[in-house]
Amino acid sequence: MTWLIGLYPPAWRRRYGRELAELIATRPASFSTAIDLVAGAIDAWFNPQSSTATAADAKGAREMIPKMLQLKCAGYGPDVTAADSRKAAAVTIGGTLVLTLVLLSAMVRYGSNPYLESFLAMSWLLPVLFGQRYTTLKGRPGRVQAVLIAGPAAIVIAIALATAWINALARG
Amino acid sequence: MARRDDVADLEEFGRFAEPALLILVSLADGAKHGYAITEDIASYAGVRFGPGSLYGAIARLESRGLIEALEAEDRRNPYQLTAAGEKALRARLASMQAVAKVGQRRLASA
Repeated sequence: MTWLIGLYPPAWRRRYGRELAELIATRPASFSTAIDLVAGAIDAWFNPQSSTATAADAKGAREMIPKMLQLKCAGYGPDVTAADSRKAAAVTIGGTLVLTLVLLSAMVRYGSNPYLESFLAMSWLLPVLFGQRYTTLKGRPGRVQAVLIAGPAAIVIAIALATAWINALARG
Repeated sequence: MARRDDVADLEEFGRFAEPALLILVSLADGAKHGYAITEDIASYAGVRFGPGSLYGAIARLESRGLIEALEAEDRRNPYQLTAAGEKALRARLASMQAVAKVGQRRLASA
């Protein structure tokens, strides 16, 4: 699970990365730890602390947030070509089809249950997020893309799990 | 309750206020590294913070000069309270104690 440290800003990783890796290694991998690390990484990008910033880093961080938020009204970055739009559409449609087929196959094989139903209902959201690599997030640094895709993806998965859990409880 | 402006206010830490307070309490009896802080908090408060929450709070405390890192020992960086950190902790505990006293007095007379 130490790979999630890669989601943190470089200056943050230089200052706390080794310590954080040691702490992660002392506990079993779990979904809640993963969510905690993703939330910590998002916080570290949006709230850079002076303990992790050199002068250059601080300047970069100040510029990073306006750059990350520089989304145009149409939802696209400045250099999105027709080919990019086709790639995004292919990822969205293809990903949705693949996920739907996998989940339907699992339902046929193992029977329907609240968890499969919940993920099936949200199966289009994850491909939409990944498709943003070619549109909204195009040209942004890889780590920024990773945070802005993995963060919302983790939230979507958490919502799907919570919804399924509530459904399972309701069904007894 | 009046707040002293020369004392750092942990409330500005937002969701990291609780881990920050528990870290300060943990360091009140001496320097500790991340793992030891986690274990200490788990033993005295019954709470085990995730690594992201713990280091989010540590980064804030260090940035505001309330704790400081000592030289690494065995590849781990211990942290210790600074004078400002001790002052902030004393102020926070006094404030909590005052609230607790009021609460207990009101419950007793209810």
